[in-house]
Amino acid sequence: VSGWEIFQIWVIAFFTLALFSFMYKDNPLYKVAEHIFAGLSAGYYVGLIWDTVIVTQLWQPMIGGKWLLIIPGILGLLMFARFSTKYSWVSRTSLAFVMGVTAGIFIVSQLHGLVLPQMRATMIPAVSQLAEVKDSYESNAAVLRIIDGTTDTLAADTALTDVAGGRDSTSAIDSLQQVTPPKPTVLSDNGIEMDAAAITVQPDSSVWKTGDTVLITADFRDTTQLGFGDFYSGTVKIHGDSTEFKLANNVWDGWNGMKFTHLGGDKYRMTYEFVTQPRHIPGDYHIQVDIRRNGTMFMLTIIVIVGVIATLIYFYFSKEHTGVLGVTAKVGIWFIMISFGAHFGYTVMGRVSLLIGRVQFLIEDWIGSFRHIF
Amino acid sequence: VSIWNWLEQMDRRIVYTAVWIAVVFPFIVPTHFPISITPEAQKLYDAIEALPDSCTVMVVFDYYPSTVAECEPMTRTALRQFWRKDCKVITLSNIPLGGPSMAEAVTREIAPEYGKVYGKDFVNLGYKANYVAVLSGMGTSIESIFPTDNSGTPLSQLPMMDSVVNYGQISFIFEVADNATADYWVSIVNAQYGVPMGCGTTAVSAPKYYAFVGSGQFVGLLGGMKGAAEYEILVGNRANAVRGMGVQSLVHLLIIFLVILGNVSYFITGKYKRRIS
Repeated sequence: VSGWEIFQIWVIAFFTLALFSFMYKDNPLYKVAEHIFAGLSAGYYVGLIWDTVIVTQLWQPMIGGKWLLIIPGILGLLMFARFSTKYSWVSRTSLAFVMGVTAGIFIVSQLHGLVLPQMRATMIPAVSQLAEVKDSYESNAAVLRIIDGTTDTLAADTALTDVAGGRDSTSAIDSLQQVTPPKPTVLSDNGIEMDAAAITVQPDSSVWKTGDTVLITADFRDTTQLGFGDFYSGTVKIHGDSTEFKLANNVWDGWNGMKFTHLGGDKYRMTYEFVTQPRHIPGDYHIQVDIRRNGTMFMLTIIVIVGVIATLIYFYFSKEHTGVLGVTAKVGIWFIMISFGAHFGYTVMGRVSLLIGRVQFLIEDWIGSFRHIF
Repeated sequence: VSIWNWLEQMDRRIVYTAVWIAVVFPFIVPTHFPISITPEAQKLYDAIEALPDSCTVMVVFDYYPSTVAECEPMTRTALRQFWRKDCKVITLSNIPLGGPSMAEAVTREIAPEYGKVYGKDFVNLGYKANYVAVLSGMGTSIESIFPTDNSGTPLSQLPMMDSVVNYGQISFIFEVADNATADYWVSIVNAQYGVPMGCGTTAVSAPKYYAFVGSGQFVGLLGGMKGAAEYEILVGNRANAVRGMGVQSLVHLLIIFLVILGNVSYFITGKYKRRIS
């Protein structure tokens, strides 16, 4: 440990102890530490923005010829007009631009990224996985090719040699054949089973072009009768050496194109259709199908639904909370309180963690540095 | 004055002292409590294990130095798991104060253990202001947002970045955050570009982000020091988080004891009746 490092440790220890001294009572040492921290943070932030934004993303590209950047530069400068009472209105132009861009980005992202997925997840019943089976097909010299519609972009790529023949200039996935499949994974003794030749792919042994519709079929047996609320779900993946894309993940009967058909007795069939996409990366691929039998956890689902509705009603203020509305709102308060309890518990853990971090520093680093000094 | 009345008027500094003792004691006499693995941590570990070897991933240091105790064990352990799989790691931060330098320090410290070389196996993009623009812009071109890395080296001079243009080449994003930036990673990057994501967050934020695991937007979640400790156990590298959980459990026991004590004295001293009347 160098002398400079020991000096740094002692400075950090001084400020840590100065801040903790507030727990006894407010004092000048605490004030000094607080003000130095605020000043350092502000100075560091200004320097960082100057270097990473103004210099590298505005000034340097501008003198490099990107003169259009002068427009955002001027819009940024206009923000300083707020310091003038007379010309503060000028800054509204920049603010309007910022607000417009922010609204444009946020409306779409918040709706599609937060509101809709969360609503969907709330409505989907809670499920438990009861059994699972896996099977796979491996492509024989499969080369999945990116075709942009007009140009064969990989025609000259010698790395894409077709090992077993059959590759042509427009092939996407070529000649899928089943290899020895892995032993199906069964999660319980009463699990579902898939035959060795369970998965079929149509069109098989033929060329897949970008835009082709491919039908994947997997036959399986389930000796356990589906109970009330039980249902099948599945995942279809295409694996490559360096990439994988999931065609369908945790999809249920009828969702996202995956269908489960009862063939009679203990026999069932899963069918899934997909269209090959230009984004698929070249490589050797094989198909994996996972099928699961799930049980619906009705009680949990009901609790979630009741909780969401009751909580929303608590925040509905257009009608007085009396009668049924009042009772539901009271149920809502209970759910909110339970949520607050979880938040409180986690907050305590978080704050204690921060204290642990500082104490760990004081004991191991600061007190540990004593042996280098004394 | 009865003991219960004294408890009601007890100086808060006595509680602070008790907590300090409970925190310091396990550092002197190591204390261990069992740590169970939650499904959310297991899912995150499994999802990373299932990634193809040598793929490119992002580790995002979206936390301030004040939450290092909770967040840094997560990034350290994630780097170990990714590098064990020979993944290429891109680090970046949307936090101006400390994020880029912590990413630099942590990666440079762990990289030699796995023989990783800067520029070839990992790159630190550093910080750029306005995370919404940054996250959206990287969907088109990472280089347009980060023309240089954290040290000012142009990305074109870093071999690892030759094959990385945008999110299309990123197999997984591990976001470690002590603030709401995780929301934007979900709503902008996961929702619009479909990149699988896992999240490590401070305990304060954890209850909020469990909803994202339920909806499948996060493959898994590490909540606070407990989540970090679970992850360390799963990866097989017991470090600061596991050690911290011994302290954590002891302090929680103390807090539970104080809460019970406070409630008992509240009822015994008749404060409850006075409040009702």
